Amino acid sequence: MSEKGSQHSAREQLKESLSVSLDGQASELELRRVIDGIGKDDELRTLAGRYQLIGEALRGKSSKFVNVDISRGVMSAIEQEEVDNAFSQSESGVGGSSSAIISRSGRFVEDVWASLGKVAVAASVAFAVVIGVRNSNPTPELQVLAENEPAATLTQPVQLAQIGSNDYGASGIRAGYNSKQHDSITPEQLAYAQSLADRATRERFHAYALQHAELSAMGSGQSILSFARLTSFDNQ
Amino acid sequence: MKKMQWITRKLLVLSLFVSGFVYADTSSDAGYLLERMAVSSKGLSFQGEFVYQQGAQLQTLSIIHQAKNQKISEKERILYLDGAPREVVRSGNELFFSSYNEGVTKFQHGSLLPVINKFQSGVSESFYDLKIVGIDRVAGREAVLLLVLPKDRFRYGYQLWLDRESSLLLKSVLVDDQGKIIERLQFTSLSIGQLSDDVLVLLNRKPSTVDETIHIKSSSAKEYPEKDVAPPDWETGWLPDGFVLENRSIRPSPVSRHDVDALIFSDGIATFSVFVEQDDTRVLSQASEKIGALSAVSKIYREGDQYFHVTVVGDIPLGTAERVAVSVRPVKMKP
Repeated sequence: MSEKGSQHSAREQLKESLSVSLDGQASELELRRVIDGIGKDDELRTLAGRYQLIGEALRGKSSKFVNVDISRGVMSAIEQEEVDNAFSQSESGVGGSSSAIISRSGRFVEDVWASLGKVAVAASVAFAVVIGVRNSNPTPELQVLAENEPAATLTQPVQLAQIGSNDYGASGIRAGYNSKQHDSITPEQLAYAQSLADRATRERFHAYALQHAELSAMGSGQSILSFARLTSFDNQ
Repeated sequence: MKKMQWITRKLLVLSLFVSGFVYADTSSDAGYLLERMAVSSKGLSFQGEFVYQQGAQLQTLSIIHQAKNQKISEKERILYLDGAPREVVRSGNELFFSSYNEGVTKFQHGSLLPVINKFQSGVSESFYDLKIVGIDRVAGREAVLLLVLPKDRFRYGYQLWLDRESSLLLKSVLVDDQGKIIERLQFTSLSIGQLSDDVLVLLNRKPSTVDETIHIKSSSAKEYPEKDVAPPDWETGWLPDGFVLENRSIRPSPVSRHDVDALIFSDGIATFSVFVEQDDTRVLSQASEKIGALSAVSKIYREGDQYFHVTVVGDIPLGTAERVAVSVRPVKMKP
């Protein structure tokens, strides 16, 4: 009896955490619980879908992703990643000479990705499990799904982060992780992976902001504003 | 008491100016000003210093611009005066960006890009309300204040102070749909006219070493299709009204060893670029960031076994950039 009662309150807590995490305000721990729970629990998954819809209605948006089961895509992406990692490791042994000619910034990004490894894969994609909703296929056989998956958009995580709290700072990738596959990750490792992912993203934006400035300056003959804007990156 | 007098006098002067300009308050005049500004910024030689403010940051920069004439091509040098030394040198179809930290990057265009008429009047007036609202003084020069207000939420608004004599841009304030100021650019000194010889020497000095050269194959949207630039196998499913493709190019990616498709879109006032490249990292991630006036969004799409990384950067609201990024999709091959 008492066990049933505590189970019930744990569920209530989980629902609360779910609501919080969909608002983008959950702690790492809460996220982890929700991700764990959502994988096991059909009811919770349906609830997540409803919350997502309500939230979007409140914010006045309609989501293109509402009918897309992202969690399925994410799982298969993680599954796929195991294979890719093994592949790219063996490839890097052979392709040493070709990697020498890539640009410096490119090398940095590659280094970062390399050191991120599986940790970051999980970190960067698994949050999507929380916001990916409405599991239309309740019996996922991962390997089969990975092969049959038709649309590209199924693997897209949706950005939930509220930007605008700071005007010029970075708001990186929101991350959680799937603890089923990565039980050994400590919060420190997770934070490290996240900071690397943030840094790589910022590096990427910086590189492309320069390309954009160049493009618009050469095109319009007005470089003043285009290049002045690059100073915004200096304090990051 | 003295202060009171000053304020009254200022008001009086201001109202005189405004009333004096009421006759000119039609959008076609404003459109003409914008057009003239675009022409002047290319066709006049000038040098000056300006400040750029974004958030809590204030930066000082200097610019020297040499108009094109029979003997020489258009040249420009922008020097960042604060923080780590950086400079931009633009000369004909080459552009050098030198940074103390990152070395010299040279952008080499195969051919001279056709000019996008930024602040083109015809395009702008369908999507922005243009209003001349008064006269002010910036950098010791008389300036006409022009409001450029967007008609929808897909773009930002501008307040522009244009030199009364030449229509050169003296000050620019970018505002979002809440009326919040995002960035300010303002000249503190500007002299227009023939550059002195020592300034020209400065302008002709190109970086002696180049760490990285980016060769760009490009074609304007109008000349397309061109032989060496194949049409990209992707398309933008959604663009805000009024934005048209100005130029497409293929260049080596700054972040991977692939080539990247670079497309630039403009509505005559705002511009954004869409970059698409093959993604090897296989770390599926989406990120968006607002860096001052620039919104940047990165996103992955997948076609078969291949992943592609989409990056959208431009002076447009983040929501617009995200919508564009999400809409990028592979072009269905026709059998």
